Formats: sequence, structure tokens, C-alpha cells
Amino acid sequence: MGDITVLLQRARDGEQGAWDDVVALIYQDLKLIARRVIGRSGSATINPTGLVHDCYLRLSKAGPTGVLNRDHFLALAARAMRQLMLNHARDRLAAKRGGGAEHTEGDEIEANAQAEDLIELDQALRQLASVDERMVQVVECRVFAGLSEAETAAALEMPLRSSQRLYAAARERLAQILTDAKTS
Amino acid sequence: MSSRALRLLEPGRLLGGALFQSLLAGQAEQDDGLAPGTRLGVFRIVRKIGAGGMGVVYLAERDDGQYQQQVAIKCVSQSGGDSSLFRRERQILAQMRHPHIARLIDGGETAGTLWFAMELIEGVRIDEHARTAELSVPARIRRLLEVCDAISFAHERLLLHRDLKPANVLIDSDGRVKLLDFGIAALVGDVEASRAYSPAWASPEQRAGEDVGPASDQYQLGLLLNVMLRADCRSAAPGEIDPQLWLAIPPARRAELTAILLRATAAAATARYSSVAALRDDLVAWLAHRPVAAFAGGWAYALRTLLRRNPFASAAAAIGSLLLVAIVVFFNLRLKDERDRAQAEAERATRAAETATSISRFLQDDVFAFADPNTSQDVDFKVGALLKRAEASLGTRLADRPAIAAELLITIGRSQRGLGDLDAAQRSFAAAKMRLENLADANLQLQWHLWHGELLLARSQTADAIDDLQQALTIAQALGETHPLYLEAAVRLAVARFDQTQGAAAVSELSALLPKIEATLGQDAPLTIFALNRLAIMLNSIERVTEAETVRSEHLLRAQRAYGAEHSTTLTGRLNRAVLLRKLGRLDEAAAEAARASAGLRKVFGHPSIASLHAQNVESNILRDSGRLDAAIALQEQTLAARIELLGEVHDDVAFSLSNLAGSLTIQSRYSEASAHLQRALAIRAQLYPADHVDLITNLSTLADVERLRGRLAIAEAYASDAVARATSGLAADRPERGNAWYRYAQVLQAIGKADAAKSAAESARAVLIRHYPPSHPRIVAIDALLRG
Repeated sequence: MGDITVLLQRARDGEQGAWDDVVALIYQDLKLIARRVIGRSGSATINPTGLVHDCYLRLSKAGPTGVLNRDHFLALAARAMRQLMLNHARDRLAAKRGGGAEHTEGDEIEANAQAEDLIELDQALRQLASVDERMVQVVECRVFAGLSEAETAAALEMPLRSSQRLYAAARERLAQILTDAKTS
Repeated sequence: MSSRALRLLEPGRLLGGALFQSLLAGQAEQDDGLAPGTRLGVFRIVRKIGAGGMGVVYLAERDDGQYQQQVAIKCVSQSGGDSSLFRRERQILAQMRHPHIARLIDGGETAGTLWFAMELIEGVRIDEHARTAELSVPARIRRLLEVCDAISFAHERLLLHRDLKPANVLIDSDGRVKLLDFGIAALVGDVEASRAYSPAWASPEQRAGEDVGPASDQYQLGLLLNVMLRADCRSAAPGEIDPQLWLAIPPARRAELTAILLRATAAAATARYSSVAALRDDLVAWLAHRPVAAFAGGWAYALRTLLRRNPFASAAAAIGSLLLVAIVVFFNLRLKDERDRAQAEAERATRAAETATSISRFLQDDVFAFADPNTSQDVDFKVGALLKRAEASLGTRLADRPAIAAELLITIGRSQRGLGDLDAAQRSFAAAKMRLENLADANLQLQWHLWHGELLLARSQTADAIDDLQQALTIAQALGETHPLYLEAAVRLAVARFDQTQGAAAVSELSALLPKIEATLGQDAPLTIFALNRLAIMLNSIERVTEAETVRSEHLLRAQRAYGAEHSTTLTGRLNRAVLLRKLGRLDEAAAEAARASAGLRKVFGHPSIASLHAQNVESNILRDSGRLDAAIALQEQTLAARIELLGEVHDDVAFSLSNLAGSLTIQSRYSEASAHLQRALAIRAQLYPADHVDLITNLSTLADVERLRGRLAIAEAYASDAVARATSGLAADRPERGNAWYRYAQVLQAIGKADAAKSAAESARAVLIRHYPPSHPRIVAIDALLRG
């Protein structure tokens, strides 16, 4: 995984294959950390935001230069997380068999419900992107990476107030899109 | 803010939620995943189809040019492990073939990855199936029985599944249960032991890292059962009742099921069932309304299950109870006799005395109590268990007293017959006969033939029953024609003769016996009431309905006097009276009687039960005759569904329901539906009966009639001629069903235009039916019209 920086650069330049690799890498790392955390505490309760940060630490150290712009990484990670969760949601709903090992049946149903919701939200985000790409980025950071308002602003290189305003506007727009989708 | 999706924007909702948890928990795909086209052994990966608890599953195809085969390949990353052991175990698993187990086809190790090629099953998880198909509790349990079968099969071959959970139990496209991943958990080995099973489904011994045995699979089966017994299939504490799904189950039945669950999921392996087969037996017992082993509810419990299962058994036991007292007294006398004769054998005498005491206690306390479900609920005693124990211990304990042993075995056999366990009864009688062979004891011979004849009657072996009863009667003649045993034999002989011929002669025979029985035993004696009941049934089946109703009213009056209004004999009599009133066109009275009987039967036997559904069926027939055809059909459909659920598809009650429903649909000219139901009934009866069984023949005739009405004359002719052929070869010459088969055939022949053949068939029909019906009977009138052309 030494080529994370290169991958990220290529991904930022819009290369689809590289982007997929970034997602896969982040996923692997997330799971590795998650398993370690679960193994240590003996429970499945973990702090997802902490995970993303941990993930950054690991990946940044692994880079050839050893230095990776943290803010950029977080913005990318947020997008990767969105992709990751969407893939997972689709897999869940597509697969007739399978299912998470550590899950009780109640969680299974809950997870499937969330998977459906997420696919709906993702479609709304795609529509939102045609209105304002920055709103989507804010949502990704806040919702998918669990970043705070300040972290979001830093990751997207914008003033705090702008990120707050964009997030509020994004929520309104998404509500509108989802309602329209329902009624149409 | 109406959309659910929008709630994902709330802080912590998504990342703290189940979807993210499941994402993290999902086990590792191979570093790059296996690309389509990758070869594993002789297989080529097509695509990924899922990620399971232990690894990734791919769809793959055979790629060695030999033949086409699609398989599911499961990949598990492996660090270390003994590959020779792996190969050996894999071999054993691959040899395991069972219809409910997805077969392991091949397996191997490629670059630290274990892979298993398994039979590809397209299906849905068993819990999802139960949820979406909204299966009832019995239906869910029946599915689990298939799982138990598969597990038992493997256990007999010393193989464990180790990872039973809903995700590994699929219902395939043919509706069959298929178990996935059999033994894979063991193959993966110790290195990844924690991944080799799913924590939520692990047995206590698995979680503790101990050696696991068959009891561990049983525990997981118990958890599976627990989940399946909830409408939504979510997990809950074992035994926690799901009100939604369990609504239709009476509290006593819930307690039984809970007991089964708790036993299978007991924390200590030794507290569980001795085997998965034993768990299966208990589930089967529950479905059949027999006592379950897991439930230590005592005598009252055993009684209730027995009564529920066999509504008519208690009537038989009630009738026998007076005789049983006589037998108890007789035992005690005989025992005293034996004791006097064998003073020196004090020890053995004591042993015999103990046996006799326990048997007489059993007879007095249990069979007596058993006869009356309303008073027996507090007696803490178990009939079935005691019978079994008595039967088993007889051989050794009374080896030197064949007369007592034979007598006890006859009594046990009678009780078993009363409880509906005809096979066990047959065994007891056979054992009794062996002991009788070297004894010249006329009284015992008489008893044996009498009660064995009764058993054969219950088994529909009418000709053999008549032989036995004839012999009993001959022996009893020496006792005089007013002796209770003589009368018992005479009544049963008349019943058996009627069963064979449906002839009026047997009816006269029984009618003539009645005054003698009343004079000797009394108006309200069990045998009197029994004889009245049978007489009413006979008169009804030869269409002397008015007389039948008079006898039935008398029967009802006396049964109520002797046993009370809420005794099964009384209630069943009342229901039969409703049937007669319906036939007589007194529909309001019929409806009132049926409603009363139905309420009582529900109270005594629960609902749905065999008895309560029988009452429901009578009620639907009354509705039909009252012109409320839609209501009748609705109720008939309800009865049918309940019977299938209670008894399974292949049961004669289900076939009856189907025939009844077909009758109503025929009235509505819904012939194709009627035909479909009749064909289904035919399939059931073909499984249950020999080819010339009367119900099968009637079914064929009715089907011919419906097809004729539909205008499918060729098919109708085939059915009708089949029915006639079977009736001619299998039924006694004057059975009315034989006449009816000819009549239906005549109708079909006439419709086809074969007028001469039709007339000749009609003549055959008339020759039989005129022995049973008066010339004014609608059927005779119809035949005469046919004969005139």
C-alpha cells in the first residue's frame, strides 16, 4: 500500500481505476482497525470518526514520502466512505445469501433498511451535485466521514461559516428532492 | 422531513448504525478479490455472489471441458493448518449425500486460501422464507424437521455442521430445505477458530473454546427454532412468546413448545436432548398433539394432549370404564388365588402384588379419570408413560404368570386403542396371544378375541374383525346371552357386519339387541349408549334419516344424563344430531345444535383441533343447505387451511374438506375449481388407501360427475369407468357406493350418447341402490328417469 499518495493524486486527477483502488484500500484499512478495536474491547461498539482518523494516520505513515495532506485526505476519505457504504448497501440488497457474521437478526433487518435509505439518499446526492458540487462535499464530510463542522471546513478549504451555510442548504435541497421523488 | 432517507443526515445516524457495523464486520475479501476468469482447481470464477461469515462466495463454472457444472465456491483465507487433515475431512464431507444438504463437490488450497466448491443453491434464507410466506407455527416447525433430518443424517456419520444459522439454511427454488457450509467450519481449523462460527449463533461450548459435539449443533438448531418461532424472525431470549405468531396456539401448547426450546438450548450440553433425532421426535410429537418429552407437566398435561389428539378416544374409554372396574376386581381376586397357591414363593408374590397394585391403581385412577376430561385435571399421573412402562416390565416381571400377564396385556392393548395408538395396541395383543397359547382359559380367550376384534374394527380390517368377534361370541355363548361380555361381542359383531355390507340386516341385528342390553345393563349403561350411537350412525348411512334422528335424540339424552353435557360423547352426539337435522331440512334447529356442539368441542379440545374443525365442517354444510353458499365456501376454505396446518396435506380430513369444498363449488357451477380440489383429494387418498377403498371410489365418481358437467366427457368417462372397475372388484356387491359409481357412469354414458350402455349401467346402479333406498328416493327417481330414456 505504499503508493497511496500516488493513487490519491491519480484519483484526484479523475482516474476511475485509481479511485476504485483508493476505496478498496481505505476499506481494507478500516476493517483492519475495526477488527483490532473490536478484538480489544470485545464489543462491536466503535467510534467511526476515530476510525477515519486512525485510517489517515496509518495511510499517511505508509506513504512513500511519509507526508500526506491530512485535510485533502479527509475530503477524499469522506468520498471513499460514501462509495464504500453505497457498494456495501448494494451488495447487501443484491445478495440473497451472506450476511454479517457479528450480527443479530435484528441488526440484519435494520441494516437492510438503512441500505435502502442510503441508495435513495445517494440518488438525491447525485441530483444535488448538478446544483452545487460543494454541497455534496459538505454532506460527504459530515455524514459519511463523521467530521465536525471545523474539520469539514478545513478539509474542503473553506471558511467555517460557508460550510455551515452549505450544509444547511444541502439538507433543505435534499429534503426537497426526496419529497419530489416520493410524490412524482 | 417526511423521507426516511433524510434521517441518515442526522448526526451519528449512519456511522452509528447497523449498515456501517455490518460493513466493518464483513469479513475480508481476498486482497484484490478473485477476478472473473481466475481458476481454482477445475473451476473458473464467474463472479462474486456474496460475502458470508467466513469468506467470500463466488459463482464458478467447471472449466475442464468435461461437462458443464455451476458451483458456489467459498474462499477462506488460511494461515497455516494441517493440509493433509484438511484433505481427509474434505473427502468425508464430499461423500455425504442427503437431499437437504448442499453437497461439497471439491476443494483445495491456493496461495494460503482455502476454497470449497459446493452445490450451487438458488434460494432464500429459511427465516426470510418464513417471514415472507407468513408461515404458521406448525408450518415453520415442519420446515425445521427437514433441517433436523439432515443434521441427524450427518451426526450418524459422525459429522458436525458447527455453523448452523439462518444464513446457512436455504429454501431452494423447488421449496426444499438445503443446508449450506456443512462442516466447513471444522475444515477451516483452529487457527481462525473465532471466525469459524458466528458469535451470535455459537453454542456455549463453542464460545468457551471447548470441544464440541452433536449437542452443539442441537443448540444452534434450538436457536434457529427460536428465531423461526417469531413472526419477524428476529432473535429473542429462547422461549419468549411472540404474541403475533402464537395467537392461534392455546397456552398449554405454548408451554410445550417453550419447553422444547429451552431443552434444546440448555446451557449445559448434558441437559439438552440426547440427540437431534430426539429433538425432532419431540417436535413431531408436538405437531401431532402427543405429549412432548421436554414437558414435565404431569398427568393433567398428558391427559389434555391425549384428549386433544384423539377426540373420540375418551368416549371409548368411558364405555370401557365399567368393564375395567370388573377387570380390576378380577385381577385382585386372581392375585389372591395365586398367592394362596404359592405361599412359599413369598418374595415373588410380593412382587406380583406390587405389579397388580400399580396396575389397579392405574386403572382406577387413570383410565377412569381419563374417561372424564372435566374431573381429571388434578391427578398427577401419566397414562402414556405408565402404559409404556407396564408393557415393558410385564415380560420380565410376570414371566411365570402367563395368565396375569396376558390379561394385563389385553387391558393395556385396550387402553392403547382407546388412546388412538393402534400399532402399540396391536403389539400388546400379539404379546398377549403368545402367553395365551398354552393356557386353556376360555375367559381370557373370549376377552382376547373380543377386544382384538374391536381393535381390528378400528383398523378397518373388517373381515378379520368379524372372525374374531364371531369366535368371541361362540365362547361367550357358554356364559349365557345376557352376560355383559356376550352383549359386548354381539354389539360389535353387528357393527362390524354393517361396516362390511352397509346392509339393513346388521341394523336389525343391533336394534334387536338393544332391549336385551337395556334390560341387563340399564338404560344409561355405557354399552347401551354405545349401541344407540352406532345404531344412529348406521341408520343415517342407509338414509333412514328420520329413524336415525329419533335414535340420536335418545342417545343424546342418555349420554348427557350419564356423562354430562360437556363430555365428548355428548358433544359428538349433538354434532351428529345437527347433521341429521340438516338432512331432514330442519336447518334452524340444525344450526343451533351445531353451534352448541361446536362451542363445547372447542372448550374441551381447543381450536383448531380435529374435533372443532369437524364441527366447523358440519356448520359449513348447514350454511350451504341454507342457501348461504358464499359463507359456506368461506368457512370450508377456512377449515381446509386449518386442517392442512394441523394435520399436513396427506390426511383424510383434508381430503374430506377438499371434497366438501368441491361440492359447494359445483353448486356454483365453478367446475374447474371443483375439479382441481377433487383431483387434489384424489391424490391424497391414493396415498392413504388401497386402490379399491370406498372413499377413493366415491372421489373418482364425483370427479367424473364434475367433468361431465364441465362438458369434458372423455375425461369424465375415464374417471367413471375407473370408479366402476374398482367398485366391482373391491366392494361388496350391495355396497351403496357401488351403486353410486354405476349411476355416475350411466350419466356420463348418456351424455356421450351411448344410450344402451347408459341404460345397462343404470340398471346395475338400481339393483344395488334399491336395497338401501325407497323407490321415492331422489336417486332412484333419477335412475328410473334415465332408464326410461
